[in-house]
Amino acid sequence: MTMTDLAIIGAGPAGLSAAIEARRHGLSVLLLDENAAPGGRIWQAIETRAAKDGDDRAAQATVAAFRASGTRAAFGATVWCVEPDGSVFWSKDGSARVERVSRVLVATGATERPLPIPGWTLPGVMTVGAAQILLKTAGLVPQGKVWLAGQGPLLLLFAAQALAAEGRIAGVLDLSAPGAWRGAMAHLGGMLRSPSYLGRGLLWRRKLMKAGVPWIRARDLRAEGEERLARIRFTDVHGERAEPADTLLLHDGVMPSVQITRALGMAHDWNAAQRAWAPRLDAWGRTSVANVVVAGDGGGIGGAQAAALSGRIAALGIAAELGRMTQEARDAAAAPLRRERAAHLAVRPFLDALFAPLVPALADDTIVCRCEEVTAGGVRDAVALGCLGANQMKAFTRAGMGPCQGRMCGPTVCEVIAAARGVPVETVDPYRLRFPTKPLTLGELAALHAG
Amino acid sequence: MLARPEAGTLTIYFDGAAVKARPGDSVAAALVAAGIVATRTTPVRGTARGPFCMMGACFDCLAVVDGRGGVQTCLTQVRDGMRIETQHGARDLHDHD
Amino acid sequence: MGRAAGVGIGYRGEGGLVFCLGEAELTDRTALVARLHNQPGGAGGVRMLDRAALERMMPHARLGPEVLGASLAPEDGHVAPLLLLRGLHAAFHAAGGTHLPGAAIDEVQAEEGGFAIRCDAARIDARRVVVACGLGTSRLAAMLGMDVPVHPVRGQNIVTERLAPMLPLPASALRQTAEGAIQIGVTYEEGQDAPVTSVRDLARMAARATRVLPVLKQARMVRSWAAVRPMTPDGYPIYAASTAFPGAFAAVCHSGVTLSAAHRGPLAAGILAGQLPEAVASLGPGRFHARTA
Repeated sequence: MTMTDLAIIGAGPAGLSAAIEARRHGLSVLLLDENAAPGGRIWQAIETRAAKDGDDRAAQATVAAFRASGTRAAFGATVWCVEPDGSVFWSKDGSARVERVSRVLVATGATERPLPIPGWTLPGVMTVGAAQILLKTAGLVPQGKVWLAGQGPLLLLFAAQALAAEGRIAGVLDLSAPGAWRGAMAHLGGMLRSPSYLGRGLLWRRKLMKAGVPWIRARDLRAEGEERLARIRFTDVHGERAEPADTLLLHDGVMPSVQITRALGMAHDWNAAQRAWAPRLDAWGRTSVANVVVAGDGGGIGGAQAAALSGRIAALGIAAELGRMTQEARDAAAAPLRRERAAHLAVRPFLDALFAPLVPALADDTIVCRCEEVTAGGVRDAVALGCLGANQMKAFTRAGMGPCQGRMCGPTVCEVIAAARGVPVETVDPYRLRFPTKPLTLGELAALHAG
Repeated sequence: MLARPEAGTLTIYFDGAAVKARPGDSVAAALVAAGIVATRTTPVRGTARGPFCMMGACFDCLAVVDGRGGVQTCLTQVRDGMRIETQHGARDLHDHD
Repeated sequence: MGRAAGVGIGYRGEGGLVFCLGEAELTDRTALVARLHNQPGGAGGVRMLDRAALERMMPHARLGPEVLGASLAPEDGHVAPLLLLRGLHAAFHAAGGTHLPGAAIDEVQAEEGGFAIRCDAARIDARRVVVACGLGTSRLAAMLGMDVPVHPVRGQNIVTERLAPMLPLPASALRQTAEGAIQIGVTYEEGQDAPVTSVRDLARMAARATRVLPVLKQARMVRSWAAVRPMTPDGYPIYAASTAFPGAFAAVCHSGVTLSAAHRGPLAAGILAGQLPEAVASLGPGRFHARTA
């Protein structure tokens, strides 16, 4: 039996577009996604909800093309390991499977940057991303005492979506540093190559204003309550304030999801503007690990359109490597895609500056590792004992040893260590990640032994 | 609260109390819709936790589902009659025997 | 030590088990225990337990049908290694020690009255030096006239989600930590120095663990880890004293957790006095060098 040419992990814009392109050139493709349906985060439930604009319609067209492409797809399939020989391990319906392929495309997208505040572990506090999932998949809409806090385009987008669904938002706390606008203006030229990004942002802001949603520049936000969120406390231009709240939605932008790429041991580079690590990629998305390619936000935040184009470019590269097209044909096909992608990526410096990550100064009692309940003070105590990096921090405090494998705490722990040591955050050793990148039962794992 | 006008046609049970759910809901979504935001207490300090990220990354939404502990309720689809219980502390493997 | 550091280290010294799956393992283990009893010094009370005795000892764990018995070493036990590490750091600080983390040592040389250590363009003077760098010991020990052979041996581990208590005693390759996670090991991979895990090895370890405790099939593993042991040619520690440069020592072993009490006591005292204690006389590196006729 011949080996499958390409396994794609992730059915968001990049993964779906790569699948379509790869199939166009006759590659055999296996697509794996842990969600029940294609679309990833940004196009979640796109097949079942009504299209609201051109972007939605284009997304639906892409998903339809994917459905027609002859890609072998498994949904509800959680990939937990990729080995360097091309073996991809995943679990579906309680059993673990493995398939060895020629090339692996990691298209797992982005993850929200954690925004720890005192009390953020209280039930009733969630991420804006969580609220968006609840809106798209369960029709849940903010009513009552729902507050948003943080910064970033997703926060604006969700607020606009919530209002469009006849929701009510008690207020938005803008935690960004005053003057972010000034930093962004240096990159105005790039923004003007794709002005729709800024236009949309301004539109969403206007909608909030027209709906009378308070937009409050604030700092020192705390979530308070006994067994669940009851109120928020913050400082605005007038001084300290407390407001009753039953739901607080936090957001501080998104960053590449690097769980799989880190566990593969590939080289990563620090993106100072996005304040995040991303795998090192060449022009075709190839990484420092042979036969593993990355496309989409997982290779650096660029948005859905850029992700789709990166997926197609990566598929073309793989098609040529596997002899399904000449390099000349590959380059000719990729050229217009690169031009189109460049226009979308040109706006990034502007958006990255405008929506710069918050990097808040954390009080000692703020939990940084939710799983193991380790506080910022606990991390600082360990630094005082000589702990230098996040991986060592695991041994000193257990931070990073919980089931989330550092997804919720990795960036924060590195920031706290860097500030305590007085070094740039990118010089702090991040958590060493290993497979499995998602839990599986010992029974599933044991069943893989001796076939 | 995060709410919706139509409650749903399925019935699931949380700590014995009936909760309405829609087909296709995740367990966590159905609970949040009913105003239930805590599904467990932590093994470390016994503090209440509930859904946070809704995408399977935070592991805070764990509950005992049909007798099985440590289940991520945001990644589990509801089924009519499903029984969900608060998970107190560490999971007990012998719960479902 | 726990008191000095202000932190408990989770020490439980109630014994350790080695499970026997099937008749062949039971026979082999029983014979091994018998041989230990016949050695000078005895076996420290190691004895075999049959299945019934095991079941009485572990009422919350339902053993798999292949578990026919186990050996029990009553003097065995376990600690929480991370708490031990934390405690050692804290106790060292409390005792007035200076810790310079992240220092790459370029060179260490004997000088007038002591030794000079050069690291990151700084210089540190000391009257005694103990080279205890794990896999890096050979390089620095050689600078001080000691030939200490060390090579890497990888070990892989599985860690489960936190679970309600069910394993009261640690077993070889299967123990429940104070936090409730079950830790399953272990591989012994000669010459492997990359701390990576492989599904083939993890699956094999999971298969054995679930034969011992079938209920573990439901348990989720939340992470794996791999570490590289600093291994000596015969597996026993090496304690070296330099004859060319008196006052320089080396210490390396792959069981630093187990031996921490011994290291803190007699070994430290000997080093301060300028020579290794009699107790470790047979553990010098000379035992690996070719004997003269």
